[in-house]
Amino acid sequence: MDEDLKKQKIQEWYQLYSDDIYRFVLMMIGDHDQAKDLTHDTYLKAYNSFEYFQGVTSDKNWLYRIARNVTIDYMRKKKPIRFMIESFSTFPSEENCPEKIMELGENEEQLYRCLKKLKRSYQDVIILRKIKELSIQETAEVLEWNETKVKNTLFRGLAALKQQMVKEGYNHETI
Amino acid sequence: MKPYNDQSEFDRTFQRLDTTKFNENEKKEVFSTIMHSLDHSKRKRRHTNIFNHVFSTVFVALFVLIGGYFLVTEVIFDGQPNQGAVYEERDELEQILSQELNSNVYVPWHEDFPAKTGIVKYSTVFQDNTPTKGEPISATVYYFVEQNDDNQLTKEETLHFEERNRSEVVFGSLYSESAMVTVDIFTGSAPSMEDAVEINIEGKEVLYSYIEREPNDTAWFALEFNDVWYVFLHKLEEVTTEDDAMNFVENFIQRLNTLVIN
Repeated sequence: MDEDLKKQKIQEWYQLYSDDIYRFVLMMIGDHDQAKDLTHDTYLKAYNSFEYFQGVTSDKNWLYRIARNVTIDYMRKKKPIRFMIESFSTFPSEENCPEKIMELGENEEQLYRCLKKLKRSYQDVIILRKIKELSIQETAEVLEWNETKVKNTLFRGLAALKQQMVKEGYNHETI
Repeated sequence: MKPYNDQSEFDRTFQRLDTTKFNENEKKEVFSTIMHSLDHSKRKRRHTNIFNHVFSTVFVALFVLIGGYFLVTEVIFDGQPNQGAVYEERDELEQILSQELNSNVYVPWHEDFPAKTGIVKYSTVFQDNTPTKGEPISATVYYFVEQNDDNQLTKEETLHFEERNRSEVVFGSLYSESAMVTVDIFTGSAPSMEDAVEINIEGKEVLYSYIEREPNDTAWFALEFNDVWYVFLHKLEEVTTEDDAMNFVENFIQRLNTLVIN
């Protein structure tokens, strides 16, 4: 494909979806500056992989998928230090809750803190289904899972989240 | 602390998490960095294109040379393709287990976790009120990340295990470490597992359950082929995910499907 057309498409996608991609990465990583960098990397990767975009998924979901992969790659590289910090942490860590989320309110902050304590697959499916409000089919496309797995993992993830909220001492009447 | 009122409030809290703002100035800053990176990569690509032709020609020439050498030494002179050697152990194990269980048994083969142990379990029969080994009832294959001889059980320990579990090690050795994957193979009625759901993998109905337990969650799969049941217990950890476990089962089913076609 012509380079200029590719560039034009990236510009268009940036105007349309950069807010969503940034917020998605922010939810995954919890760090505003890093979320900005990874948003940048997502669009760059989309440009370089443009030939592989076949339109099977929507362009937005394709970008979500790239953003997730880019973020996971980043976390893997960062893992040794992160792992050590998380291993020694008994209480919810302030660092894990970005200022932007703390600004939203106490409930949002509590929910986010508990979400970040769950295993990766639970976090992924909850972010996409409950926060980004993607359909089961769209979530399956982004995560490259089948729909049954999305449903099962979401069910288990929400149960684990509620359990985590009880454990952290947050009051939640639906638990 | 303000409590949540109901389920919809819970959902609304989720949705509010998606209202964080991407500051306009920062958004513009990221955009201009992207554009700069794109221009830079375009220039870089132009330069590398010139060299690509040279490199690809050299690469193809080397590939033909090395490939030709490999073909002559490994395939033509040996008379056998190398792949045969890889599955030699699997075929040997399949032969043993088929004989023991008196059925056609196929052994799943993992690319990353080698099958290091194969055991056959026997029923217990009583002779003069003394429990003794009866007929073979099932087999289990153990797959490990890697094992060295230090973890291998001694001859005495192995005998003790065999006696206690009314079983016999028919392939490899026993190890003190726990296996990454185990596959139980048996004939007869379907296995059951709480919360198991029926899923379809490669056109085959498979029972599947995700078991949460310490120290590792485990993926459980059960499938039947030619009246033989295969039950997979796949340990999950950070680097070995549910998808990896699913892929292992998928590869096995793909092989079974080729057997059906043949």
